[in-house]
Amino acid sequence: MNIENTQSQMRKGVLEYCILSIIKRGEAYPGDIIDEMRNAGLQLLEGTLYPLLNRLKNAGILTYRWVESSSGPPRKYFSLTKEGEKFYALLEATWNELAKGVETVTKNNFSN
Amino acid sequence: MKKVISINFQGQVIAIEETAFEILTQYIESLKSYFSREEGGDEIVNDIENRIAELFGNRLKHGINCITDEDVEAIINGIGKPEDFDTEYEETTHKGDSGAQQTSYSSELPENQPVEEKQSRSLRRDTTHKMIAGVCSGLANYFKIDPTWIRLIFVLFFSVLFWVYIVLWIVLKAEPLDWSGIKRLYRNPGDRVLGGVCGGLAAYFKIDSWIPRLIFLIPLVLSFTSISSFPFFIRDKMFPIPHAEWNMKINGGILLVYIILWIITPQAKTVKQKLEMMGEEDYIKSIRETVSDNVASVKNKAENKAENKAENKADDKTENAPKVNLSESAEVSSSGRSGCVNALIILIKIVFFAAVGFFALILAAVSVGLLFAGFELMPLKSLFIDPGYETTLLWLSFLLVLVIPIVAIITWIVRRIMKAKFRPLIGVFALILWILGIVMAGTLALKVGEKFNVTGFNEREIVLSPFNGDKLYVEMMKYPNDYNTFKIGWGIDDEISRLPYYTENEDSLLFSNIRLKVIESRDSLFHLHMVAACSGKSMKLAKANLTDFSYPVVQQDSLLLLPEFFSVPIEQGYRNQHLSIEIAVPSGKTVEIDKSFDAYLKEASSD
Repeated sequence: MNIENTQSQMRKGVLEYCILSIIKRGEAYPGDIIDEMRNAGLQLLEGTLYPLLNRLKNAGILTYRWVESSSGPPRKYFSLTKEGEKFYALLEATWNELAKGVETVTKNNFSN
Repeated sequence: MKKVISINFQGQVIAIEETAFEILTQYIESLKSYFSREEGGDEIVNDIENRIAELFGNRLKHGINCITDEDVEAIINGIGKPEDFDTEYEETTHKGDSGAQQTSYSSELPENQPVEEKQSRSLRRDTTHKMIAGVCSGLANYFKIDPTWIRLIFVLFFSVLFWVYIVLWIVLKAEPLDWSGIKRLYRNPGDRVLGGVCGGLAAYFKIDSWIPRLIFLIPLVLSFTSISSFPFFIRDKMFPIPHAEWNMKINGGILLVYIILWIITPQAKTVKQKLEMMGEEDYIKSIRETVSDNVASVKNKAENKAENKAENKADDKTENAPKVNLSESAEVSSSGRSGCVNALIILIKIVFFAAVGFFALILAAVSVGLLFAGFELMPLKSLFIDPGYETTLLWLSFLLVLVIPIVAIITWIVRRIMKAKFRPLIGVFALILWILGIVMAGTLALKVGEKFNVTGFNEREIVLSPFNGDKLYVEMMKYPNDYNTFKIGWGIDDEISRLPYYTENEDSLLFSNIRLKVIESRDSLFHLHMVAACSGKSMKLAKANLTDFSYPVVQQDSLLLLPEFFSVPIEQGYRNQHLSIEIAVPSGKTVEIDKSFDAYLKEASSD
């Protein structure tokens, strides 16, 4: 069993949730998202983030607007659509369930 | 030592080492090929390029002279190489098909171009775009213009050119001609009110579509106004008769041109036709706009549906997306419905707009008529309405009540032509102003009515000095100067016969509201008993007005001279002023009243 593969699988599952959670707090452009994720110790490549944002946008979960930037080309600022808010709410519920479940299961293992 | 070059990267000028530039290009190429499998891959690559440009910008801002190999490597490591990306494409590979189709289409266009150069410029009948025998189309190809223009000429001058057509049909050789590079006139289904003719013209001449619409519509509107919906007096004032005839001709012609264009111009259906209609650049621009519009509308629909189903289980949501797609495609296919239904819809549209337009025009005409009536009645204003506050009120209400509907109708028509979106706020605002105008008019009417609240009387008794003889002669003292009547027009003057006249220098009003009556005197003398009456807002005002009455009576022996009019200052206005005179005749004596007083006597007896 390849440990890296498993790690990446684990990370991938929560990635979307984390990104949507950042965007939910307010409009964000990919640079902000990357910085915030890295500051939180979650490694994220731009090459992963951009396609993901693109797919979420195509699915109608995200929308964006162009904002002029003083330090380069105009930036895309993403925000959740109504659809996206519902999508996020579902993810949040699932995550809470999952986190609780994982905690219970793993703690039980330790206590055994 | 390394060579530094300057590149324009995503709109930024960046100094970069040549080797670093090579690494960068390779990297971007690898990204492109990687993301080409994904829907919207170009956009992703573009976004990443933007990000790189931004990171470059940040680095250059921190005092570095140029981007080095190390900088590029660092950035690439941050963004990640394709092999590092956590994306799986097993399930999305089939999406590449659509991309392949697009490329095969775009390769189609350039192929045509070499053919054009080979072709010699000779007059032929065209078989590719022919309607009857391809004569017009061939001529158009020869002159490198759109066949529609030639067809239009042939149709309009049918009688002359019919034989030309036949001759050309016989003489010319038929051949499929090449049309690339020649701009074509199509009906534009994407920008149409009726048949898309104006939209197509706009695309052909690269102007806004409301311009041709206005040109087609102005004569139509003019003709409506000159036919019957206008009252005659206005029509004669605004559109003298020969003008109207000329109008009819012009606008019959314009209507004919529109219908002919409708018939002879093909609709731009395929992508290639749309390209020919707009020119490549504009077409791509318009596609970009419509695509973003569509995306927005699809999103809106999705949102609406989601809201509708809010009470349903959230699980349903996943089913929503395909449903939306279905309804979208249904709409698309309905636009390609059969010609018969299409024609019917167009017919209904024509009838509807004709009806609405006709109604609007009648309304406008009535408003204009009232406006004119208002102007005609203006001279009477001074009789009823005081200067200052009331006059302001009059003008304001006049303006609001009559002008707003006219402006509204014109605006509506113009906006309809320009296809501007209806903004309800303006409508509500206009309505409020209009109602305000009505309220003002009502207030004014009340104010005017108040002036007739009470009627005050002033009695005067004159004892005539005794004279020889038994007979008193009463004669009329004609008003010595010229006087003016209030002109209203349309013969209403007769009906308001009690209206006063006004003096030459416009300082007094002259009333002929005088009743004359003969009664018996209680003593042996002749008496004159005069009662002046005047209405007013209050008794005080009425009495004050009465003191200004002037009716000088002159007695010369047995001759009594009564003036033709009594006069009041012009500022008083019309307050239903009248005067009744009783001549008291002692018993045994008589009075002879001149015939000129007949009207005054009659009035008194009718009371």
